[in-house]
Amino acid sequence: MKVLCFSSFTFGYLNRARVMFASVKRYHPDWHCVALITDEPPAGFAWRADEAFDEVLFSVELGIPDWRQWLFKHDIVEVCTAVKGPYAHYACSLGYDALVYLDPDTCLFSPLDPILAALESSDICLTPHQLEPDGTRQAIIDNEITSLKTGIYNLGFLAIRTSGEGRRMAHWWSQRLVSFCYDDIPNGLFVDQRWCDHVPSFFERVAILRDPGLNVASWNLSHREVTIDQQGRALVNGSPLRFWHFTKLGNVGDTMTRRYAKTNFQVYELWSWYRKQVEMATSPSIPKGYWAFGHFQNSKPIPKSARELYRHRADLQRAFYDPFASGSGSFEEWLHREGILASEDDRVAA
Amino acid sequence: MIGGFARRFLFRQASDQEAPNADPGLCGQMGEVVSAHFDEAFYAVRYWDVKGDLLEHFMTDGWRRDNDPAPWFSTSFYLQNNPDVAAAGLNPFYHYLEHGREEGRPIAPAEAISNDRSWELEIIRTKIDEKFYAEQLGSRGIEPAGHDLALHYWREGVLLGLDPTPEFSTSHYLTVHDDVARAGVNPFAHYLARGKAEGRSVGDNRTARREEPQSGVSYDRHVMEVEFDREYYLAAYPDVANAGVDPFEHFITTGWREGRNPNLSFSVSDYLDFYPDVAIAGINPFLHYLVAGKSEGRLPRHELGFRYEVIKSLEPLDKRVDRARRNAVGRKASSSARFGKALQGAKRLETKGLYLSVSHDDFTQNLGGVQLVLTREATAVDRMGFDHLHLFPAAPLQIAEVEVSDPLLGLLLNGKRLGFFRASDVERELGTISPKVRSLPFAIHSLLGHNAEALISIFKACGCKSGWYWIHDYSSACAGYTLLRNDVEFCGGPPSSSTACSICVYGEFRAQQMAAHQLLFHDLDLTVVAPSESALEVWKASLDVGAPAIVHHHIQLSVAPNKRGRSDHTSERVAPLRVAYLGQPVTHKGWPAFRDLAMRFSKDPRYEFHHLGKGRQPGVPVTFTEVAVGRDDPDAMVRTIHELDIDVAIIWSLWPETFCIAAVEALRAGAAILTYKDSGNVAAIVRRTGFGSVLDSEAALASLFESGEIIEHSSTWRPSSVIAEFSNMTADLIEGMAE
Repeated sequence: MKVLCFSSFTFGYLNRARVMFASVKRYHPDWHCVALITDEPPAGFAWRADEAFDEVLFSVELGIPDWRQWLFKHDIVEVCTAVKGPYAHYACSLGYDALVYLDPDTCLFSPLDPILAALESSDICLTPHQLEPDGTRQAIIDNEITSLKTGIYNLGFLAIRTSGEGRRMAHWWSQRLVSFCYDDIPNGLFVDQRWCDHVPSFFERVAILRDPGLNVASWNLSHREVTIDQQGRALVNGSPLRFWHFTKLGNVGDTMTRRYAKTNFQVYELWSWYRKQVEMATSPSIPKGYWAFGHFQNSKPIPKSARELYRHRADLQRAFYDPFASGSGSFEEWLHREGILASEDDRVAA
Repeated sequence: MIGGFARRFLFRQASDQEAPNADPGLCGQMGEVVSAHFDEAFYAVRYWDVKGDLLEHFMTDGWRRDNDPAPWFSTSFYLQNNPDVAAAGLNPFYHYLEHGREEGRPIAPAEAISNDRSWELEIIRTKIDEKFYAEQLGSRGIEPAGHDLALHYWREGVLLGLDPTPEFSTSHYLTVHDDVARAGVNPFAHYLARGKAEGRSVGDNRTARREEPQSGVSYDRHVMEVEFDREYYLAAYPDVANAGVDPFEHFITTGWREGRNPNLSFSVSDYLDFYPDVAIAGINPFLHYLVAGKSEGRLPRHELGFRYEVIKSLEPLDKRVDRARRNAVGRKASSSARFGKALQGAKRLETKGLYLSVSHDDFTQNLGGVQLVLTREATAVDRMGFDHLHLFPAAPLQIAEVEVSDPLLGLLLNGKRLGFFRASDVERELGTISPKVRSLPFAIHSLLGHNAEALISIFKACGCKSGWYWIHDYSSACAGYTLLRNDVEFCGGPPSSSTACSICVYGEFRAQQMAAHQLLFHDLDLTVVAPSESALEVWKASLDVGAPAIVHHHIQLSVAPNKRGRSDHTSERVAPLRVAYLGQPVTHKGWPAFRDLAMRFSKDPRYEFHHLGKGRQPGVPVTFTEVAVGRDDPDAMVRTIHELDIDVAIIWSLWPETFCIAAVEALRAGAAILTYKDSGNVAAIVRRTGFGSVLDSEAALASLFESGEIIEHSSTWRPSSVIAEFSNMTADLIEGMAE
């Protein structure tokens, strides 16, 4: 099976993506790896000679209409997830049998054979956040209710065939994400992820993968025990660990991991290793928190509220063709004039 | 009504099968009525031995035994005063709620003391400190009727606020555990039967009786000061000790903000990390815990286990190696002529022979298991009449030396330090005298810190063709010589390409370490010697060089016939059980497991915890006895274990010990051993002799203490008359060759 594996991120997450793609190449050297980047390289940045991915595609090249306007309406998470749909649809025509999407903060620990096996008889493979109900009140709130808000399936992973239902799903998803990929939980939207709650209903040949070694993360650790056997294999509930989702590297991720891993120390070994790998993969030329599209032209951060305003106001979209611009006649100037942008109170977009 | 109840019961049985998560108490009309008024917390404490659904117990069985459903309702009173209800066989509580209330039928509160609670008296009798109790009565001028002090405490002593033992504060227990107070059970009986198992605090008479704080001293300070451990703070933070400031003042002003801890049980950083609401409030987390957090069920430190801490503070191996190299800077090489002259002066080289040995350090200066056995070897070699040259690295490293090809070596000639010399100089001088020397087979006790090629050249220069490679550790198989993956779990020496090796801090150095040893085995004619069968088994699984191998125990153990069972020196002492940790308090030897056990059971009168050895750890509730085992006093540990009449030694090595002298010392001194499943030769000795138990986890260890089973077992596990025969190491092997 010819597989294209892609991930969507910005330069701030390049370190994680390097670790992820290196792990993909270790177990699937034949997969074609594509870095889909919604960003511009920072000054002084240079690619390493031995990058683990085969191809870089900047998402501006996807041909989404009114690209800068569309981009402005989304924060960093919204846009990185939104471009997954259009790219997946496009990649269905590149001659591969299947596409695998992996978030940049995932990492493989053994071959993804169960996914390849599933793709023999299914066109779409999803991994739910949770596979069984939780028991304690805290876990129900942290895990089950969060999934009700953000989506039953975790879209840090997706695998589809490039024909049949897979292709049809990619087309549908692409259309939805171009128009509705927002973090708006009260209105039923959570970026790309909640859309996929529809997938088992809309499409045939959908496999909901229940292998405990897939997409292991703090949100399902309450039911997964990690061990490492004397042959050196990492196992989850006795099955090989396929890939881990090291979500929210930092304090928040640590808190949630600790809450559910408890004394399962092997989890902390994996995290400790991952932290070091990401550190080694970090290019010093990429400033912390860097994103080319996080600022107006004058380098002032774009608040989320400004993006949301622009998103909902057709008149503003018509009036300000390049919402990133600064200076006279710009959207930024208008925001100041209207008192929407105060000088000290701006919040940086996510 | 009965029919209704029966219908409800059957319905619940069916529904339990279909919907196991359904709350049985809510099924049916009776259950609904009663459950609204049933006091589950009261019932749980008062009838502590009831398991399963408490409401169901009351409804089916409990009321028939006169159990009370709430503090305000006495089942037996209602039945006695309402014979029609009793005659109809009705649940009195349901009847009262549904009918009796409206009809104005009288009720009474739950029984305070009754003969049904005489079990409390029995359990109090077993543990009350009569002398202590009598002194209290005397100091208050109370003359109990009769001599039954347990009965007095049970009937009156609680109400008077008297304490049954010095460790148990009645008022503290009833104040802190108000569910016990509401349930009307005897607090001491509750503690013994239930509360101890639940980890409930008993206070301390010193705390309970502390005078009210002086005026001007705030309540907050007082609360914290009582629990603050000055000794721990000063030992943990030597900068504070050196500054000469009062540790408590330091803690409450700046120390807590710097993340310093007030005692071993409380972690400021964990508490603020886990409870961001406290962090945001900006108050001293220790104060918060004492006045509010504890009763809210918040934890004083994380319960993620000691392995979490180990992983959190793992240092990359290259940093450790760099530091070791930096520490060795300043060692100067002496001239090779000096070595040459010393060799000239060695009289026995030509006549009897020269024995070469190699290890990772100067065994005459350091005290540890390997150094002690090397001392025995050196003594025996000397007695056999050989000259003995011992080589050790000037820069002790955790790995074989691969960067420096001509390293500096320390030399001991017949136990005397000659100085440091370049490996090339050693090779040259030995090459000069070698035609005259009768070379004996050599011993490599460790390659750590040595350059393999340099050593091989030295042996060849000396005309030494063959020798022994001792497995004192697994450094030949990995840069992590304990084979503890990330210093936490025995890895089994898996393939280098495995996930385990990839994520292990020693993984990237494993290949170079194995290569250095494989070179030794390739270029020299080596026989592997393991000090135990288990060491050989582990070694073979992790490194296969195809060399011949033998086992030669450091110490042969045997039991004098017909002398199993309780040691003859054991007194009739029943309690407390004396439990000890032997040696340096290091993680891979299981110190954290022992420390956690001692902390958990520190107030349990059944046990007494001891630390024998070196490296006293302040703040840990154990009795420390310094023991220095040395050349002059090799039996110091055995003697101390015996003198202190230790019942059980906890030898919780996380790694497969190749031998473990401490285990032999424990057995020789008559102590049983509790050990971890991965402890290698310790587990093997325990399994073979039956002098203890091998356990799977720290939870299993704690369970033995919780239940008290260890007390019963230790009397059969304790060895008597264990005979130890010490080997002379390589000297034995050389002697064996001559035979």
